[in-house]
Formats: sequence, C-alpha cells, structure tokens
Amino acid sequence: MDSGLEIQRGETHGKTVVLRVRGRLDARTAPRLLEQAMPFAGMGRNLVLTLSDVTFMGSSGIGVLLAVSQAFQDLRGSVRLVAPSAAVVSVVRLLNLEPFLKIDATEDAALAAIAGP
Amino acid sequence: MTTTRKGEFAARMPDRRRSGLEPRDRPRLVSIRWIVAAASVLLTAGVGLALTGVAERNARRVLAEAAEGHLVLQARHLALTSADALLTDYPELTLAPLVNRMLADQKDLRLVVVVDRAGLIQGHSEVRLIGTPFASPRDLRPARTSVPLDSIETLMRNDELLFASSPIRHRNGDVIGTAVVGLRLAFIERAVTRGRREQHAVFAALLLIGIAASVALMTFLLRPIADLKAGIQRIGGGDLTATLPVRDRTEFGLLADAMNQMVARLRSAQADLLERERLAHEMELAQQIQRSLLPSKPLTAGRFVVQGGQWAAAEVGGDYYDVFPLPDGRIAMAIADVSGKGLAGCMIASMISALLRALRADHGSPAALLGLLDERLGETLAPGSFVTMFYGVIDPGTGVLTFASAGHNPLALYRARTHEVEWLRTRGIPLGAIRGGIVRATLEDVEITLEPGDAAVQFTDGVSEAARASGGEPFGFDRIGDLVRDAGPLGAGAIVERMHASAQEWRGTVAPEDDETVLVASWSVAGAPGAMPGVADPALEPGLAAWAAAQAAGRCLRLPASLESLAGIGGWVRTIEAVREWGDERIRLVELALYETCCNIVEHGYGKDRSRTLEVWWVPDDTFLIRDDGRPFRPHRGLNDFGDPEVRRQGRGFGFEMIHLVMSDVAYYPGTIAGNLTALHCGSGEV
Repeated sequence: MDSGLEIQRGETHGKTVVLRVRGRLDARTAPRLLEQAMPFAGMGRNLVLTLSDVTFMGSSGIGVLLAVSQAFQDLRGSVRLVAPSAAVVSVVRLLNLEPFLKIDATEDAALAAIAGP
Repeated sequence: MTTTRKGEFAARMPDRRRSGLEPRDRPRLVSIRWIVAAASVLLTAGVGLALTGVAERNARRVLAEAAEGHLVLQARHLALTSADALLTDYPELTLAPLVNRMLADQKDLRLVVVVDRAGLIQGHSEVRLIGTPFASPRDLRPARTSVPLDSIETLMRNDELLFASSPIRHRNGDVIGTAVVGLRLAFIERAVTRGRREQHAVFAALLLIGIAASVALMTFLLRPIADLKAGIQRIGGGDLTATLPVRDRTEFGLLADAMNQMVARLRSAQADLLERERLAHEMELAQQIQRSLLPSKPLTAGRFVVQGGQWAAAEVGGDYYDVFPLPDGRIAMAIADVSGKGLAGCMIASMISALLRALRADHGSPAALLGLLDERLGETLAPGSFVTMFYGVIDPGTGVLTFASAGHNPLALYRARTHEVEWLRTRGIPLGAIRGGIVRATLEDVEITLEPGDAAVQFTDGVSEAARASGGEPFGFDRIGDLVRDAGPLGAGAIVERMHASAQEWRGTVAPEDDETVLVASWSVAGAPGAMPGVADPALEPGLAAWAAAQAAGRCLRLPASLESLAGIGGWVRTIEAVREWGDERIRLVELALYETCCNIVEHGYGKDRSRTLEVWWVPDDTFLIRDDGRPFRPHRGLNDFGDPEVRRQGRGFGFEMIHLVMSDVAYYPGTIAGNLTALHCGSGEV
C-alpha cells in the first residue's frame, strides 16, 4: 500500500544522520518520521532533514518537526531542515515558527553549520 | 424426587441403543465359574498325569530290582540244591522233581534248568530235553542291576525274560555245572499296570471333587454380581435413589462402594441441574415481568421528549423506570433501583409500578408521592431491603422540572447554553431503609427550569458502577458527565443510546452485573434522532442557511471517515474554478485548514470508523461547509505558546490554531437537522 511518505536514509557524516523525506507529512504518516528520527537523538548526534520533496504538511507534520528538534536539542544535538518545500514553508510561516527551526538551503550548508566555524 | 423429574433425567440419559450398549449387541456370555472350573481341571489333570508318570517309573524300577535280586537268589538256591544230585549217576531223577516244584511254587518263573559241565541239560521240566545241549534264549543282553554278582554268575535279559545263572560247585570248589533260572518280564508290567489303574481311579475321583468344589466356590464368590447387575440396571434406567446393597468383603464390595459413591454424586449433579433450571425459569419470568413494566416508546409532550432505556443483566436486577402523562398535562418520570435481585426484586418493581399509577393523581408533590410510596412499601419490603428512587414531574409549558430523590443517583443536567453539565444532588434516604415515616422527613422537592436544548439525565448504579474488564474501575460520574455533555445536543434518544454503548465499551468483555437503566428528559433538538421536528434552535440557523445554499449551488466531495481519504482534499479544492484564481499559497493554506478540520472529525467525531462518511461542500460565497453525523464536539482554539519548550516537545495542538489563522471565520453548528455542520469562511484572501 502506498503510505504517501518515503523516508530515505542518506550518508552519515560523523555524528550527523541525513534523512530525506518525500511525499505527505500528515496525521497518518507523520508518526513514521517521529519513529525513524527519534532513535538517533542522544549522545550529541545531529539530524539533517531534507524536505524539498514534501508535497503536503499538516499540523501533525509540523508537530513532529518541532518535537524532533526539541528532543535533539535537549540531548545536546541539533536538527537542521534542508530546502523545505513550499508546503513546509507555508506552515512554518503561518505559525511563525522560524525562530524554533534551523533551515538551510543545501545539505552541505547544513553539515557545515553543524560542523561549526 | 418426583416421578416427573426422574423421567426428565431419564430422558437426558444417552440413548443406550445409539451408544452401542444394547445387550443384544454383546457377544455370548461366558461364565467366570466355568472358565475357572475348566482351568482347574486342566491344571489338575496336567499335574496328576505328571505325578503318575514319575510314580510309575519309580515303581517299575523298584519292582525290577526286587525281581532281579529274587532271581539271582533262586539261581543260587538251585545251584546249591542240585550240586549233590549232579554227582549221582542219574541226576535227572533227583533234579526233575526239584525243577517242577520250583515252577509250581512260582508261577512267574518261565525257565528252571540245571546244566552239567558238558553243557547238557540234566534238570528240566520237560523230560525229552534231558541230555540235550542247553541253548540260551536269543537276543540276551546283560541287565544293568544293583544286585552284587559272583564272578561267573550272570544276569541277562531280552524283551520277554530276565535270565540269571549261577555256578554249581563241588565241595572242593570245582564248577560242575550251571543253574539257570528265567523270569517272565510280563510279571513286572502286570504289577505296574495294576498300580496305574488304581492311581487313575483315585485321580479321577479327586478331579471330580475338584471340579465340583471350584464350581461351588465360584458360584458362592460371584453371587454379588446378580445384585450389582440389578442395581446398575436401576441406575441406568434413571433411578438415582437406588443403592447397591452389596456388603461383600471381596473386590465386589469395593466396586459396589465406588458405584454407590458415583450415584450419590450423580444425584447431587442432577439436583444442581434442576436447581439451575428452576433459577433460569425464574429469571426468565423476572425478565418478562421487568419488560412488561417498561414504557414501550418515548413520550413527547410539547417541546419535551422523555425517553428511557434498560439493558438487563444476566441475573435480573431490580431496576425500573416509567414515564406517563399526568391528568393536568404534565409528564411524570420515575426511575428506581430495588436492592434485591431476581424475581423478588422484580415483584417489588412491579408493586412500585402499580402504586405509582394508583397514587399519581392524588399526590401534591414528588416528595409527597415518594413519602406515600415509602409508607406502602414499608409494609411489604423484607427487612434490609430498600429502594432508591427518583421521581420528577415536567411542565412542558414552562419547562419546570420538579423532582425528589430517595437516595438515588444525582441528576445530570445538560445546559445547552453553556454546553456544560450540572450535577443536582438532593437530600432523601432510600424508601424502606428506615421504618416509621422517617424517610418522608428526609425527602425534599427541588425545582429547576429546563431551557431549549437542555436535558435532564437519570440513571441507575448499573451504569455508574459498570466495572472495567481490567482492574474493575467503575464507569463513574465523571465519564457520565462528559458523555452527557457530548451527546446533550443530540437529545434524549442519543443520550440513552450513548450511555448504554459507552458503558458497554467500558465493560469490554465483562457481562453486566446489574441492570443498566437510563432515563432522559430533553428539550427537543431539531434534527437529533428521536427529537420532535419543527422546533429549531435559533443559534443553528446560520449553519442551516449555509447548508441550504450549498445544496442549491455548491459542489460536494464525499469522503469515507479515514485519514487516507483526506489526501484527496487538495486535488478536489484545485478543481474549483473560483479557488484556482486564489494562487498557490492561499490554496495550500485552505487545503491545510480543510484537512485539519476533517482530520478532527475523522479522529474525534467518528473514531476513524471508515464505514461512515463526511461531506466537504464548496459554497459560492467563499465558504466551505463540512457536514458529518459523528459524535458532536465543540472545537476550542488552543492557545499555544511555541516559546515554551514543553509545548514544542509535545509537538501537538496546532490544528485549530492553523484553521483559525487561515480562515476568516469558523462556525460550528452541532446536531442540526442536517447533522453537525462546520462552516469555514475564507474571507477576502488575506491570511
């Protein structure tokens, strides 16, 4: 059955895991992203979420992004969102959530930001 | 036990023919006594024959030894007595009488011969053989013997004869001849045969005695079988009063004891079965009585609907409710819970029903009526029994509900205006709890006014104390309050059904321990199931107007109540020509708001029951109208502070925020004639 959401794991860079998300992040599918991302939280690990192919994001989707970001932050890691699609940007802007999410244009930029100056 | 019960029990016994126990199917009877007798005959005969054979062989050996010794002595005796005669000139004259005398004296001797040194016969019973050479009988072979023999003595035998020879010596020791004696072996056989015949006679006599004794003994030992058989046949025929009168000290006694114990247990099981049948019959009767007391349909008067429902427990409780019009046009509603269960509880409920109807025209107020009931019931109720009861009277013209409660559960009052539930508790102890008119003094009348959409809900302990399958936690007043608040807008019928369904869901697989009874009076709600048509709540009118506009000129997307199906909203929105002009960003946000609204209905209104449907309507004045017939709920906009890390950690609560941010107006119309309506107005386009 088409779940409407694909999550592909990219290369691992040191303590940073890359997940590329495609399709719908809605009430039905968002819990899957939570399940796949949360185990990486801890021991200072970081997460890069590439959201360029997200076609729809509902309240559950943004809820998962916030919850994952907060969980990594609580465990001394960070989450960076890469190239969010219009569907994602609309929701983030609507709720004025930019201060709580770190957004980069490319994966390289996100990895560089995590690596620090 | 009565004959009928015996008969009933016999009828339940398995069919002996079907079970293959019919005597004619059994192989022919072989009596144990004959089996034992035959075995003893064979055993005795075998042992007897073996012993006889051994005895015969021994007898034969002893006889042979005796005969051999005797024959050797005869030969020696003949040698001694014939020595002198042999030295005379005419020895045959002396020897012939000697030989003849020996043969005459001893019939078994076959041969007596005296032979001289030259081997010629000098003494013989036949005169013509004297002087002829002696020829030994043929086929002689040495006989094995225990008799000591001289060096030239011989003991020989063939199949007929035993043959001994002894030397005849002169006084000087010279051998001058031989004395020969032969004995017929048939002599031994005759003696043995004679002995065998006697033994056989004795043996046969003993055998006959043995057979007779074993048959008699077995007959005596097997005698209890007849009693056992007769008793078992009586029991098999269904007579469980039968006992096996066997006082035997053998294993048959043990068998009879075991059978008697089995019958006693069967008797006890049969009594239990009959008792259960009696109880089941009583329970059925109680259920019939209980059902017959209940109103068959909701009562409507003016704007009011009074509806009850009762679901009986397996063991019928003493719940009762009634609704009836009073002569002055008001409606009386009563609900009671009798402390006893079963037929006794039902009879009390039946009495309350009769008393209530007899007294309804005469009483001044609900408290006065309950006081009268207490007085009458006090004469009848068994000590320790009591009745909790609520009695109320509604004036359909004014909406005033006057009620009194004798220790019954509080009244849950749904207020449509505030969408809240109030619990109304009154004084009053259960009817019959204390005798002597004290109960009457505790009762009080309470008066409240019902407003449009309000509902007064009463129930029995069966609902509030319904125990959860795991842990036994009771359903409780809080859950009842939430349920009444949710179902309140839908009216009496829906509240009754939801109360039952929720209590049932709460119990899970556990069967109800008590009757569950609910009684609701509601100011009828337009469109709600069971409500009276024609009375509309003015607050719902804009929703119904939007619904009318949608039906006149709108477009509809009908979706099953599942989260998957909501993915179709985006595509459908983009097919609406007016919407397409709004631009991508605005369309995306509208899709988002519609998705969130429908998602709430699917999850909370329908509980993801995909067999239900909801409709999204486009109404040309930039409004989307969502229609559903799920559980009504009033969405409250959450006030989330995203600066709070705890809120972000939970990652939820954004849905309503998003709907209200996107839409210029959000209106909710629960329980209209068309169902629940949610109107989302898109406004001028500014978000």
